[in-house]
Amino acid sequence: MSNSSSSLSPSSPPSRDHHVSEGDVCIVNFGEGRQYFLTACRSGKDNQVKLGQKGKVYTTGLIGLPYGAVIEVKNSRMVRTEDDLITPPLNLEDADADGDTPSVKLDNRNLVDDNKSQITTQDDIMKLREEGKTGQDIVTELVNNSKSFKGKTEFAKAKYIKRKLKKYLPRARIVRCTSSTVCDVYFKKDAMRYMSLRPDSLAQIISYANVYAGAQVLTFDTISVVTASLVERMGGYGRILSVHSSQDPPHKEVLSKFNFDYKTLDVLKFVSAFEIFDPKSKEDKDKDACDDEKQKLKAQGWPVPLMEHTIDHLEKDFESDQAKHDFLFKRASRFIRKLCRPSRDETLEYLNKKSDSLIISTKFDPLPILLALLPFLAPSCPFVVFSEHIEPLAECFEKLKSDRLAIQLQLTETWNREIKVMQNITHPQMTMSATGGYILTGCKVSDQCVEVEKKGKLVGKGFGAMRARGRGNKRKLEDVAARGDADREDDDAGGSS
Amino acid sequence: MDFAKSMVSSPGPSSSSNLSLVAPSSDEDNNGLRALNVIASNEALMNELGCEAKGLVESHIPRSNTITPSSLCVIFASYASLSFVYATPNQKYSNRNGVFHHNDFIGKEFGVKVPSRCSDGFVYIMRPTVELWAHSLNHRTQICHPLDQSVVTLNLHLKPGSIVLESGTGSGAMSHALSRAVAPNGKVWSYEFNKVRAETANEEFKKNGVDNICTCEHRDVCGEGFGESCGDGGADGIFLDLPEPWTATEHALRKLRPDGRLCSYSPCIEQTQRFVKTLSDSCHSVMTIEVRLKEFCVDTLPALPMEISMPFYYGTEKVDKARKDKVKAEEERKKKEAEEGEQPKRKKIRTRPAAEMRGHTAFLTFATKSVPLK
Repeated sequence: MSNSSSSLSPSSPPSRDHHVSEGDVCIVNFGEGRQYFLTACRSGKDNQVKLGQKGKVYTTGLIGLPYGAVIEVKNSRMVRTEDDLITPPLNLEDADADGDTPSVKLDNRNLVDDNKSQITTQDDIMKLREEGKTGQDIVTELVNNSKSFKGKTEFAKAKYIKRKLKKYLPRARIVRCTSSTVCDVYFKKDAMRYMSLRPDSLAQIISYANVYAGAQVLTFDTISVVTASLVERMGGYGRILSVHSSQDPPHKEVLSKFNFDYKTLDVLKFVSAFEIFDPKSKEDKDKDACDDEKQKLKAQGWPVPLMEHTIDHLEKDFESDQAKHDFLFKRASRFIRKLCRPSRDETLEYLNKKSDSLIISTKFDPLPILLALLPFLAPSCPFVVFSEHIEPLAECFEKLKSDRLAIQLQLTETWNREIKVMQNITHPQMTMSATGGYILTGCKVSDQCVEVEKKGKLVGKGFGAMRARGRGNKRKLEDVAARGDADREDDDAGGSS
Repeated sequence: MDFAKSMVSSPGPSSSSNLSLVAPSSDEDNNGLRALNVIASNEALMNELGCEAKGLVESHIPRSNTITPSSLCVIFASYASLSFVYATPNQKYSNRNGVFHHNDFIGKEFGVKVPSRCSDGFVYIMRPTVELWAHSLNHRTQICHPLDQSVVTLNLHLKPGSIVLESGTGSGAMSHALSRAVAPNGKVWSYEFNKVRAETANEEFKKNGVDNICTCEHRDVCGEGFGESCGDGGADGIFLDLPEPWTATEHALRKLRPDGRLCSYSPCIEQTQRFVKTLSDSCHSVMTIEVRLKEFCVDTLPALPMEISMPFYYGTEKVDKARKDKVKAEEERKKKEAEEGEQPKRKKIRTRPAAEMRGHTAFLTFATKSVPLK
């Protein structure tokens, strides 16, 4: 979404500026891990959402708001507020550049924690709510009626106010859906379901696999977040061949969160796992079901004419012209997608062209999948295998190394810590993620050998040189060592460029 | 590098269909439903495919498979030893493994193993990627490692078409990573205050073929700002790798579009603190993280040179019987194995963490520029 005049982008999305458009999915972030996906729409089932304990909220208010805006929930509606997400921290005496800590005069040495500090009761608060007092007023009342508040340190006061505001005046920030924010929501909400894919692990998968616009990426992915991020990173150029073992093309739920337009989404092509792993098992009629449908649709012409049952359905079940129009619009969109889907032969052609990178992030055992997909990866191209367990990756590592299929093998885990930076009280956060999954990366090597003339005969047939060494042919090695130095002197002129 | 090469377009699968806008016919049929269908279909076509109703065009970059003269090759000698050459006829490359003649691998495909003509050593010639380049390039300054590169690229929300500003360029490793993310129609404007480094960086960008996306300008952004060439407030992301990033904040925020992302790479916590202080008014969602890479080694455990027989222990009759049954089953299994032939012993593969890891590279601070209140 750059403001530059590069109109060459094939995926120029409709009116993509920094405001929420109608139909966009955005993240509403209440802080501390409470984040929700909301669709900004005026009607339909996505219009009313239940946000935690706040009851039903209408999402109409989101339309037109800029990303990054802070909203409050008032009377089931989202209203933009001018304030910050939390009240700004109280002004502390800033240290000068040398870093002297300011004198903190108050501390908690006299605090007695007997739960009797607050005078306001539950009933009082209910009364205030009924009177229509805002959350701000309620918190002010609580602060004034707290006996221990005056004795708190500045930091403790800020913490207290923040906690009360969180309860009585919940505020949230609207966040744009991108790879890192969506991955963050899924990771914090339900890490187990998404194989502990932490945003920095996702970042590594995309980078180490050398994914770029125009590449052909082969992927076997059951996490869906990985594929969606790949689609974002390709920007409408190139191809993603997503191998799946399910009946219908997967990833729909996660892809819908990204607000992709059709051109960007079109890079994603699906390949059934049966085609690659077990071509004999799938019956012919199953294989060509999609192609048959496509042929039938093509034969009908465009626009796809209305059938009897469609006409009946339209006349009986829809009242207004607008409703009929919407139904026909959706129907036409469906047909367009079916017609634009590549046929089975076309997808196999893409597969056989060999891909530029391979990404495997699946809950299934990765070793057989890796060995089956590696032939479809071009030589000297990187691959990435992600797993939340280390043992299957260790097996892959060992197999790749012993069969000399890849080089630059690296099995890693990432350690990620967030740091709370404030003037003079900077410290790492108290909570931290302990795992982001494990990643195995490497580069596939070619199975071709380079034959080189050496001492009057050709050598280099694969591992000939290594075998000679292994046999412990000591005399040969000594000669080589002696001659090796001499050779290096002669070749002084040449050398690394 | 491959990502900067030009695209090749080919008609997509939809071009074989007969999708095109249809003029609505004048005759009323079925209560105007047919007319409604035509209108709805046209709208759906515009919505899905955009203006190119004739069919989608696919673009991809054809991979460079063979090593041609003057192409960049990364030479892999061993895991920790990577370097690069530009393939030149009749030249030689030498390292600890031996001497390698360029003529031996020019014309072959990337990924081949090349033996040395006069020793038993060998190397692999690999196609350059951003990560291999970062491992093999000449360090003129401390570089941003692939892990930090990947985290920064993701958190700056970069995608094809984005505009990124970077300062300082240093050895250019980060510039290549950013270029890969924004190719083919994005732009990386990189700034370096050291003249020699700026010139070397530009030469390298040209040699690696990324100069259509990335340019390095000799400029001190802390003192002079980012200049005019990078546009006016339209940058999607800004990456600062400076010793005093707080002096560049104002200049950076002026060039950043609303809702754009800012990142500072600072090794010291004091730098981070001073930088975050300058962000408080105009940015939100400020987050500071540090990421570390922990590596694992894979070993196979050797087996003992003897059989361990089950220890004999006294127990109840039931336990004894169970144990005797187990021993009997074990003996029968061994007999069966001996008959069928020796089964290959399953290797016990174990992982262990590597002995050392990098303790710290830098604190990464991310922030989003606020959209101004109307």
